[in-house]
Amino acid sequence: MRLTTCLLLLLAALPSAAVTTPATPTVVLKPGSGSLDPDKTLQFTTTLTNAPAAKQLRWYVNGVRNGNTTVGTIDANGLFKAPAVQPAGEGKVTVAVELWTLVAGSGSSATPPKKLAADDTLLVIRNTAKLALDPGYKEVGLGASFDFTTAITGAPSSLKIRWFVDTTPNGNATLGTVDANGLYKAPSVLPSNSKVALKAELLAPGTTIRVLATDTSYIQLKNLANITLAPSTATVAPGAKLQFTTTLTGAPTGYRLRYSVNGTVGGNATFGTITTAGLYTAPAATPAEKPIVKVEVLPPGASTTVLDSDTTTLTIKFPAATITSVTPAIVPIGAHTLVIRGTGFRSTSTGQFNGAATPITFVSDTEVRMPVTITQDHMGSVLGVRIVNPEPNPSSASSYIRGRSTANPVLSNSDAFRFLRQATWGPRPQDLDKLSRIGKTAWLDEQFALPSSTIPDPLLDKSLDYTQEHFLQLALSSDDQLRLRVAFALHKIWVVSGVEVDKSRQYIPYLRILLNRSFGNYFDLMKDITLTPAMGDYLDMVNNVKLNLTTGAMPNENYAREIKQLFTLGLTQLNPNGTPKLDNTGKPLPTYTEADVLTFARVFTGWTYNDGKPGAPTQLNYYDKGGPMEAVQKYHDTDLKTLLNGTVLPAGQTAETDLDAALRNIFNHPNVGPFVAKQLIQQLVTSHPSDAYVQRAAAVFNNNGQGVRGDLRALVRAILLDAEANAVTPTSGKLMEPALYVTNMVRGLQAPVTDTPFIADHTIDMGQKVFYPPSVFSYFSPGFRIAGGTLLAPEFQIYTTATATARVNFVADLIGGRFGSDVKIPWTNLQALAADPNLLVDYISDVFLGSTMSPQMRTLIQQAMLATSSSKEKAQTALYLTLVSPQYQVQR
Amino acid sequence: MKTRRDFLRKISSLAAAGAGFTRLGSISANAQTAGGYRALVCVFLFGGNDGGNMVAPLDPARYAQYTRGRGPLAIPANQFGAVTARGGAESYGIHPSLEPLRQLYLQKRMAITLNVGTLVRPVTKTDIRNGAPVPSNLYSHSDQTQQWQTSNPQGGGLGWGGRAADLLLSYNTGILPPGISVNGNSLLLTGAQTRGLNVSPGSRLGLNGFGSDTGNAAREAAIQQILTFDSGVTMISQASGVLSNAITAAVEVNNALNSAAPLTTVFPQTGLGQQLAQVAQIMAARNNLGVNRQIFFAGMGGFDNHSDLLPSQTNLFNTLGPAIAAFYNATTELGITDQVTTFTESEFGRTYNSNTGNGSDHAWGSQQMVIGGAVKGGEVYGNLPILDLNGPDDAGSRGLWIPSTALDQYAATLAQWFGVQPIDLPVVFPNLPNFSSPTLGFL
Repeated sequence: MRLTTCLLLLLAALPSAAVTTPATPTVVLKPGSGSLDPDKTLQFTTTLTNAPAAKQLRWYVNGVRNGNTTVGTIDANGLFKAPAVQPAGEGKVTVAVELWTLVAGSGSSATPPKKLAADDTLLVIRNTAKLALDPGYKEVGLGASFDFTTAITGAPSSLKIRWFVDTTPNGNATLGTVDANGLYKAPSVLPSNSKVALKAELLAPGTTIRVLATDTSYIQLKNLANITLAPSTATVAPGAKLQFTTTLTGAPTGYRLRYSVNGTVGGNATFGTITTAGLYTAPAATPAEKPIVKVEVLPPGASTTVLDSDTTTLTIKFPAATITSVTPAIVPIGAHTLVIRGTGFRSTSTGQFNGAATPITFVSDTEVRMPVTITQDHMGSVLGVRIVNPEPNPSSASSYIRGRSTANPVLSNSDAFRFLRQATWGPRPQDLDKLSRIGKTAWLDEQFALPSSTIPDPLLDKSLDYTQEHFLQLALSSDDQLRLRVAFALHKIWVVSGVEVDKSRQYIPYLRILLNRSFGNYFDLMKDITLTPAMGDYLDMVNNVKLNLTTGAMPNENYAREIKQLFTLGLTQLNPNGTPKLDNTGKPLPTYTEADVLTFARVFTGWTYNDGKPGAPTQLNYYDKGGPMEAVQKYHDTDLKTLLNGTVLPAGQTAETDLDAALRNIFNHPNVGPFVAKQLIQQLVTSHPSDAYVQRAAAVFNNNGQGVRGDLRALVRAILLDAEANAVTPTSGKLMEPALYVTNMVRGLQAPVTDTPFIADHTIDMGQKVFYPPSVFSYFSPGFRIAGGTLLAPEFQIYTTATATARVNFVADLIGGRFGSDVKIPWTNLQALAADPNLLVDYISDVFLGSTMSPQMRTLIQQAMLATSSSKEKAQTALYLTLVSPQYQVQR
Repeated sequence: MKTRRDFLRKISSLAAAGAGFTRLGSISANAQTAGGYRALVCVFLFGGNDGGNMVAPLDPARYAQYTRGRGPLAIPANQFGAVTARGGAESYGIHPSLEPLRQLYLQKRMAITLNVGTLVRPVTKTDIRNGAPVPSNLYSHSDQTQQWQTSNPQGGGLGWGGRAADLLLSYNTGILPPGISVNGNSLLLTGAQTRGLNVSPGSRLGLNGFGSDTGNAAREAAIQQILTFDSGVTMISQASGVLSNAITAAVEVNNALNSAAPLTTVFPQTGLGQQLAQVAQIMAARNNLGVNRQIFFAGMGGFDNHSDLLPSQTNLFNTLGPAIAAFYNATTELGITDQVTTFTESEFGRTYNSNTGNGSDHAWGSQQMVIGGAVKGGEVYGNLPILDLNGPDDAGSRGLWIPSTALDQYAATLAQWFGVQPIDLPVVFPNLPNFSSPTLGFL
């Protein structure tokens, strides 16, 4: 174009030159071509020739004088400014300049201006406009909106943008819509092609559509709807309601939920119904199949397209009962109504309290009430509370409360525990509670006042084993614990063994004496036992007769020796504190000589079995008709006898007179106090008492405060209340003997024993057959010392590697359930505790270790519990480890 | 890798001082390395066996003393099982109910030691009157039972078997202690460094479980931990030590017993018979147990016959004889007849004089028997006292015989055969130098 214009101009100029008319003026515009970005300026220049002096340059852009903002402007000096936007026509604009004359003259004579020459330049305005959509890719959930942003460069931001979804301007309901601002709104339903293009076009100003720039983003349409139905599984009682809830994300606005049961919207009577709000009502009876509740998310409108769904399979049955709380949790003696809260209770539920059926009142499926009467027996214990649901769908739930009679004990549990291990056959929780409440003195007063347990006559005709079992049953359950314990201690001093005396007719009277004299006077005990046929048989005093002049046979020395050595005096003379008296060479002084033994053997002559007839017998009887032995005077040695300490029995006295005097002679020997006191301390409290402890107790034996010697009640009281009995030192304590080990366990466990031989049989493996000590030296010797040591430890005499193993294995059998129904451990109560290992171990420490379980033992036990899964085995593990531990086996 | 045994050993050493199977310390410089297996088996006759009727002199002069002394307790001469001694110069009667043992005597597998008892030094009746030292608390069951096991007539102390075992620990390689009791706790086996293990017949070795396997494993591990806790209370550490030893040994003994073939020898179904069967079964496992020196303690009670001695002793010997004979046969079956010596002990003899209940009372010296292939049997050792009541050898008036041979000599003979060197005998038997001849020659 520009070349053409130039040529035309040349052709126009040629004639003028030829005619030599005044020279033709010309104008030449520079630059002669070019391109320019929008909004940029370009200075044009002109070269004029033959121009008159009065002249004017007129500027045009695309023919418009001085141009405009659409095509660009140019001022009088030729400064061109490009438009903001590339003009139509691919930005081509013609900048022209004309040389004009000025107006000459004025008025009517004025010469109009005349164009003398012109030139032009074709200029191209570039398109620099750019449009960017952000993001370039986007996943958009159905029904969701997303605002795309646009960035315009190289053009004014005010320019309009035109939008398309795929090819549809502003989209549509199928593809989604987009508004003028780029807000895309996804359809509710996936289109056939789920990936759509979002296109934006930047439009040039003006009415004509002209696209300056374009950009396209891609949208992946997705079904993001996610619904979760809660609960995810559930057990619903027949006829009960269950409110479902949903958690929904990614659903389009206006979504709808649809509930169904086993495919039927709204459910039916067979599988249960459900409202549009998700309230399910179970059918009246358990259906053949499990109901499946389904919730579906539907888009707005009428569409049946399911965006998402979730299901819950229901079990229609009565739910298992659970107990979450029982109040009050700690109950004193008296009547209480326990409020039991939990789930799954039914009007047909029944209750148990501490293992016994107890009526309950049904309040709701989350609450029942149980009236209970709490007694002393419940004190200190874990008391199981149990709710049992009947058929159909039986279940049960357990919890517990604890009985405690006082909030202000006068004795710590440790002290109460220590005391009861000394004074009873083992502390039960209720015993600990009671002693803590009333204190030792009141407890002792009560024990001393209790009537004695009895051994009934029918046992006389049964084997001794029945008596043994009866006694152990008394030890387990009778109230007169202290008497039984002291009687058993006296049995171990005044030994008659069933190994030789195995007839109940003889053994029972012996035991009755022990029970009767436990809190009596030692002299009476000496005399009763001396004359009881069991002892007469055992140590040969029965039918012991004076010197046989024909054969030279002498009176039997057996009883004469052992009554002194084992029952009253011991071998060596004792100081008041129980230590041996020494001669000037340091040797212990003997209490009596062989001659003394012979003398007492003569005293103990002339006694025979009671013939059951009135009057004194005249012959030796060889059949025991019951009752104490009687004297046959003609067999009694009536010669003069010199007893201990020079006491003389004159010649010619009766057997009765001699016996009484001889027993009195022994009884008054200064050894008896320390001898008996020390042994009773060893039997009840500690194996290795201090000399001072022995001395204090012996002083009470010697004088009970009212001038009476031999008062066992005062002695027992003094022994148990002595400060040393409550002291724990490195040398204090005693190993529980097998019988006590077992009864302590069973009592602590509060386990009813229905078959007592299980105890008797198993203490044999542990080295102690109750009432059958191997010899008159009892089950173990009070003088037995720890191997290689100086510490007295009588029970260790029968604590061997074999019996130690038997002890542990007994516990395994007891706790592991091998005794079956012989002994009923209240597992439910303990299992209820096992849910919290701390609670269980606390309880066990309280009841079996007097709250003294060490932290390391506690940790160890809890670790071992972790290795087990069932609550029963957890409880078993904690108990087993505690009961086998030497920390438990040693009473301290 | 830590083995189970290491762990148990550690437990054992952590347990109460002195109660573990520690075997550190004074292993005798004289301990031999040779010698093969040797075992002593003590059969203790609790209650004080009436030795006067177990072995009685049958030559007419002394039998007359016998009948005079024993009165109603005397057994007719023709009822005794006659044997001879000292080249036929002396003749004795063995109790009629001990025929199985008389057979062993005739086979020269049994020797009899006469009038043995506890002594501090040799004494006569005059010495005693003049205050010569005699054992403390003669005639007391408990004291004399203890002294027969300690050979310490002053009372207290460790067992002579344990002291001998202390010197011979180097013979054994296993963790098992040399002393094993099949009859409860035995002071005889208690040494300074070893304690007897109790493996009573019928008692279970090792711990019973219950519940789940994982629970059992956790509980057993926990018990072993508990036994290491230092409570600061002696009684507790003692109890822990014993149980710890039990658990440790159970594994060893069980394994060994399971690996040994059962014996074909039939033992009587009596307490002693079963105890000795248990001893023989442990001996059968000796190689697996790594033991070359063992001392066993067995026993039976009932010998305190203050009345009706004759029928009672007959019953007792009907138990004793067959049990010992069966045990001897078992050692033959095991091929260790020469390596096992069985001997009796009893706390005291009984009064020669009868009491009016046809029993005998506590006395002093008495007869004992030694059985085994190594025994120079068919012979008596020592001498009977002069069997006169109130006579020169009677410590009292009823035939309380002053021992003519000391327990120390009797036991030292056994201990020397067992491996204790002569120079070490006074270590084990402190009073032995008081006697002219330390051993009796029956082994």
